[in-house]
Amino acid sequence: MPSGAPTAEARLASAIGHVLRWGTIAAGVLLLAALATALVSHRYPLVLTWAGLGALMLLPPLRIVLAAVVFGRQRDWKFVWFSLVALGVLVASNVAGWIWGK
Amino acid sequence: MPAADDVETLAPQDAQQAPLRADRAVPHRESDAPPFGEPRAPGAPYILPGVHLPPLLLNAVLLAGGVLAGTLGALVGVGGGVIVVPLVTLLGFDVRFAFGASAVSVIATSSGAAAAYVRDRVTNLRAAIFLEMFTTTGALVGALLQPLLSGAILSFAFAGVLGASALGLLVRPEATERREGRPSPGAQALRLSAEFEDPALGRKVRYDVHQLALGSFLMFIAGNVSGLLGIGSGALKVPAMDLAMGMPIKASSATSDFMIGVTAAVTVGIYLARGEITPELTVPIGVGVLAGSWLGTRLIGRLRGRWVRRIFMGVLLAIAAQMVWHALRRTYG
Repeated sequence: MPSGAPTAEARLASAIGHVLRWGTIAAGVLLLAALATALVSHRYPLVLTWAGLGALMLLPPLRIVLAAVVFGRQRDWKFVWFSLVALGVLVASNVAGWIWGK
Repeated sequence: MPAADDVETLAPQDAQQAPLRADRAVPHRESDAPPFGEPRAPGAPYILPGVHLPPLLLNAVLLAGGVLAGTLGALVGVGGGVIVVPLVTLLGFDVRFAFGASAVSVIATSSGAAAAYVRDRVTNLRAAIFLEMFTTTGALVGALLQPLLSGAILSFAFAGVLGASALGLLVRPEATERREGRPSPGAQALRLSAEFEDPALGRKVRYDVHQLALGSFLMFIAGNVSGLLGIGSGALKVPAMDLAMGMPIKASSATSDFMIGVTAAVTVGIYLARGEITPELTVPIGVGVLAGSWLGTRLIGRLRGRWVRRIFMGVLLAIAAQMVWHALRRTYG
């Protein structure tokens, strides 16, 4: 492995690791609160529930965005490109799925 | 919170759900509930034969199923659909909601497990990002092809692939703990070699990545299967990395855990648009899966690679059996 790579790797791992950790904690707390509310009132609170599910569902694209940013700062353009291809497919298919999926 | 904010079902496109709403609107007394085993929309009362399953118990069952799915998923790099889909259908929900719940479970497992594995540097991020191009494209192609292909044939094909993978792991149980020989030139150019600390072995494991072209192709196929069958297909990603690309099993499952959420996210918009992601199922399962995936990442440090492979083989065979059963039911049911 070329010199300098470990620190770059560490930066990427730490950035993505932090976002995933806090993202899952936030989603978990929101979903738990929604579940507790539903058990008491027999209804799922709209805002809380979809904030939790939304946070969860945004984590996959977010990790790709973050990878693109970190690779970009390292001027590792090949990997920026790889990240953007994956992100592009993800966004395009969800937009298409939302429009035509029904 | 104003009462208008609280709705019975929170599917965003509720207006599109006229048939489901009709199903759901009918039974409010328990005696009106459809019999066990018949497809039932969320919100309908839950009755097992002779057993009344009150909301509290139902949520406990879903939560426990989620914990199991998350733990297993974090351990072996799969999304937990193998637990979630049969659980939800056995509770009497329509299989479409089972797949919606499974998609959320995959994303939750992936995020929960990856949070720890990325921090501990077990995940091979460069390999994950590179291979993600092929899985996402594959999932998109799979989703587009879905209307053209027979579900039964697909399920049989998938079961066959899983059986073959399990056999591969059985025949070469220790083959990839360390693979000798030159890594693939492409993998070298992309600097995919990595190392991680394995607490069970008490040392660092260094490895190179082999057969990048084959691995990329297999990831495209895994993506296809995800898009076609609505699963995370970690069951195909792990053998692609472990058997084809020569990555150690723990690195393979950690990298798969990172990737499956992204693959599942390709098709999650479709489930959302169809209103197949319903809070009654996805919230308790999601909470359970997040807790379970955390548990799984704590457990894997104590397990030897050999045991991770054995558990994975069991999961493969269970998924294969499930797929055959689905296919048979679709063909003859």
